[in-house]
Amino acid sequence: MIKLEKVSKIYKVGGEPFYALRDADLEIKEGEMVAVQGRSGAGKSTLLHIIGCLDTFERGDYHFCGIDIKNQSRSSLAKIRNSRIGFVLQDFSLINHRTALYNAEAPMLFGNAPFFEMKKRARNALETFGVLSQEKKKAVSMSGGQRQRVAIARAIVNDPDLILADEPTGNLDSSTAAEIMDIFVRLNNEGKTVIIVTHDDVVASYCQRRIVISDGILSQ
Amino acid sequence: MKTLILCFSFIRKNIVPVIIVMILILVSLFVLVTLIGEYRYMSYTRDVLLRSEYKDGAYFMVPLDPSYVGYEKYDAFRDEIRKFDACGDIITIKKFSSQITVNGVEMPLNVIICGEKLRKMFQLDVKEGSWFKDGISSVSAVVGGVTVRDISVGDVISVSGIEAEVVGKIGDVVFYPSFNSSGNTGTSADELFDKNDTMVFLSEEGIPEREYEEKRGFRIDANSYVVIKKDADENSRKELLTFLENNGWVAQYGDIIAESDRRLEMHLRSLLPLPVFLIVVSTVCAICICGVIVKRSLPDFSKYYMIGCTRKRCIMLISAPLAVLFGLPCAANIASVFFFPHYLRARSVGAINYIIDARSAIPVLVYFAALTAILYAIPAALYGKNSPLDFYRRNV
Repeated sequence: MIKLEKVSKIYKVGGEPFYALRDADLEIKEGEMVAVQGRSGAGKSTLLHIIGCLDTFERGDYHFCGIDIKNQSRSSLAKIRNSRIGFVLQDFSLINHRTALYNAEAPMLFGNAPFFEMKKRARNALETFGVLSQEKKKAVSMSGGQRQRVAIARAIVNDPDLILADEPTGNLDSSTAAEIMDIFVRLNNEGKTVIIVTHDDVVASYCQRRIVISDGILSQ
Repeated sequence: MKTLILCFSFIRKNIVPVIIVMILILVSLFVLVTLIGEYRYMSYTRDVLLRSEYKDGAYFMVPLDPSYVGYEKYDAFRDEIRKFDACGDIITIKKFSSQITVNGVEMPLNVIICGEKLRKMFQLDVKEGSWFKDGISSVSAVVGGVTVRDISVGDVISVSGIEAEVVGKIGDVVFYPSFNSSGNTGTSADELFDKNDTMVFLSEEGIPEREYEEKRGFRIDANSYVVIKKDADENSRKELLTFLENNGWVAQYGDIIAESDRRLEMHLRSLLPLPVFLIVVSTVCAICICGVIVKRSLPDFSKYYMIGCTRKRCIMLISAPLAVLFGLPCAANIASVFFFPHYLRARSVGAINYIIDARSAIPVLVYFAALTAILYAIPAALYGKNSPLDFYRRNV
């Protein structure tokens, strides 16, 4: 499903090249649940941004579900992000001043989902993760656990192939974190490929495979 | 529908200031359009005079003297002027009121009898046909105004029993030469004109003048334009002008044009600052609101980007609704310009000293185009500097 070959992400720092990711080779098969671990600044998020088609890379090749990502236009990458990838981030990345329902249906605003089905599908997603009763609440007035559930509902509402989670339990207490991880396991069991960036060994223990990144270099 | 929801999502928190700016734009453009309309009227009357074939002459204003009441006095005085060697001719304006039957309904209208010299002195702009023709043998007419809107070039009209072929058509408001009543000493070009919403100009040729005058009761404007002969020497010129100055007020052609230029400049200087100020204020407010919306929506933008929005679309989602909302007052002004003849026809407004037509919409369209470009440039610039990825790197 995901195949990175000698992928490098290079920034210019003081005129000198800085490798956030260096010659990364990675293959993740459909249905896998993988943890990416590493210290702060090791390049975990950079890797996640490249896999999620949020960021570009300078060298190497990346194929996602057989699509050569390097040669895709911005609008094609936006379509891939919209329909094939779901994101769950540490800060929830919800639109705080809008309701849970609006947040859950937001990806459908950019996709091909029929307008009159949007609310129904968003409510189904919220119900799946136990936050349908909060649908009219603004994201800002919800608890961390509820917000992360809404974020997961948003991530799966377009039925993506891949779910990318960046420290999804970073802002949650341990019991809520466990509930959230159970959701990811459930999604993986339903056939979704899940990649979780974390520095937490407990979180990583839920995954079938661990990848470690250090100074932009991957080791498996 | 989806796009509408997204657009509303970006501007919903700022809808009140947006509405205030819409009102500001509406008022400032309305003031601008009317000012330009007034300026166009003044410059139009000046341009008509510039086209005159009698550039060597003097506008003569008679004093306010009760003994001048009645045609005989005026006629006798004009005969006296004609005796001077330098006097080429005296152009007067003869008017009468009449009625015209349009679609079976009798409507009041004013008629001006145009002799050849008057026609060449004031060559008015026509929308259709021409401003009379040389070598007229039967009565020709040029019509203008909302009442005679349905009359076409080539039609034959009957005015007080006179049959006339329509050779030209003026717009909905007619600005016609008018030599004031005695006592008015204004000498700029616009002072030599008046306006009306229905007017018929009849060629003098073919009308039995004296009989007609007695029957219908011409009104001859008290003032007149004295044409100076081309071959008049300096002494005879001076003699004529001195006589006129001793018996009233005189403004030579060059003085009228100079006075018109001075008044146009004064008009612009005194009236332009208000619409310019209003437009600058409304534009600055529009820019500020756009900037605030973009700044406020940067976090949302990064989230929309993550779930499948492109940078270009995000820019459009902000600039397009603002352009539409700020375009509404522009559209209202353009609509008022195009509906102006309808208001005239419905008598909702009377003829005013403004020229308001399709060309009045041009400054509004230019303003709207410039504003739209600015509304696109602001999010483009701010999103360019703060890409969603920068946002992720800083915040995630």
